[in-house]
Amino acid sequence: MIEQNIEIPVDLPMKFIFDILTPQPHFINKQAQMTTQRSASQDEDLLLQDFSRNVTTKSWILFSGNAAVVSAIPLWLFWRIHQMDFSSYFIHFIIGTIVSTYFLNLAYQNMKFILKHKIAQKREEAVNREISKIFANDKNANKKDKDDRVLTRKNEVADFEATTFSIFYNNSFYLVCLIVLSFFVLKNFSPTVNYLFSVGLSTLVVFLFSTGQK
Amino acid sequence: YSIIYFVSGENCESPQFTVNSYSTKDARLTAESAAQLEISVKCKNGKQPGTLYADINGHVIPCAQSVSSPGKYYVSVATSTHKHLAKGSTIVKLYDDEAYSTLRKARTDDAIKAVKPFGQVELSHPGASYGPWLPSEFFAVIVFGLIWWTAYRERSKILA
Repeated sequence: MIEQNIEIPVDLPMKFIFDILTPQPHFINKQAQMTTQRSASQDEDLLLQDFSRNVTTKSWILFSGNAAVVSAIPLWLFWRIHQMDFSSYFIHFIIGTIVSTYFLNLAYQNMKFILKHKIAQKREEAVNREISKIFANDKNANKKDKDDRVLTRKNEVADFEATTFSIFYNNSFYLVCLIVLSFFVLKNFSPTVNYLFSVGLSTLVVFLFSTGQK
Repeated sequence: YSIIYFVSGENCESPQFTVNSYSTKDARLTAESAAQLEISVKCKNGKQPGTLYADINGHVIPCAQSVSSPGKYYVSVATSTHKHLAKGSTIVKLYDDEAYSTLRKARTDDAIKAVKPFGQVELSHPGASYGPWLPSEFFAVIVFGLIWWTAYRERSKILA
C-alpha cells in the first residue's frame, strides 16, 4: 500500500464544477440519515454504482464539454498554420469535431471505469484513516455506519480522481498524436487529407488505447 | 561690351540626405542579396543636382530619378551571394555631374580618392537570416510529449 496524505489534493476549478453539479450534504445530516433510513436497496445501489459502467449525468456533461473543447483546439491550428479557412472547409471541420468529440467521450468513460477500481484500492487506506479520525470523537457510531461512510467516501474520491486523470491522459495523448500526424507524417499531403486523417487516426488511436488494461 | 554671367545658385549647396533603404532579410528562400536605397536630397537653395552617381559596393552607377517627386534618387545593388552584401553600415558616396566627370578623368588611385564627393549616405543592412535552427513543431512535440509521458508514468503506477 502506498502511503497517502489524509487530505486528498483536488484541482480547484474541477472541484468547483463537480460541487455545483452534486450538492454535498452536510456530514451530520448524512450520518443521521444513514442511521435512521438504512435499507437493503441502498446497499445494492451503492454496490451497483461502484461497479457500473454507466456514468452519471454530471460526469457525462463534464466529459462531453471537455471532449468538445479538445476537439475544437486543433481547428485553430489547421486554420492558422495549414491555412484552411472556415468558409471553404467548415463541413470537414464540423464532421471532424463531432466524430472526435463522440469518440473522446467514449475514451474518457472507458478509461475512467478502468482506473476507478485501481484508484479505489490505492486510496482505501487513506480514506479509512480520514473516516476513523472523524469517527474517533463519536461514541454512538457502529461499525456498519463507519464502513458505509468509508465506502461512499472511497467511491466519491475514486470517481473524481479517475474522471480527472482520464481527461488529462486522454487529452495529452490525443494532442500528441495529432501534432505528430499532422506536422510530421502528413505534412506534405493536401490540407483536406491532412485534417481528416490526422483527426480520424488520433481519435481512433486514443479510443483503442483507452480500452487497454496496461 | 562684356557679358558677365553670374552663375549663382546653379549648384546644390549643403545638401541634406534622407535615406530609406530595403535589403534582403530572408537568406533561406533566396539565392542573392539585394538592396535598394531611396535618397531624398534637400538643398539650401532649392535646386536639385542633375544626375547623381552612387559609388556602391565598388561600382559607380547613375541613380534613377522619380518623375512625380523630384529630389528622390533611387539606386539598387544585387550581390551574387549573401556574404557579399556586408552586414551593418556601408558608406555610399554620391557624385554629381562635376564630381563624376572629375572621377572619370582620374587615373590613379590617389586621384580617385582625392575627388570630393557630393555627399555620402549610409546603407544599413541588418543581415539576411537563415531562420530558426529548429522548426517550431519540434518544440511543440517535445513539450506535449513530455506532458504525455508524465501522464503515462502516472497511469502505469496506478494500473500496476
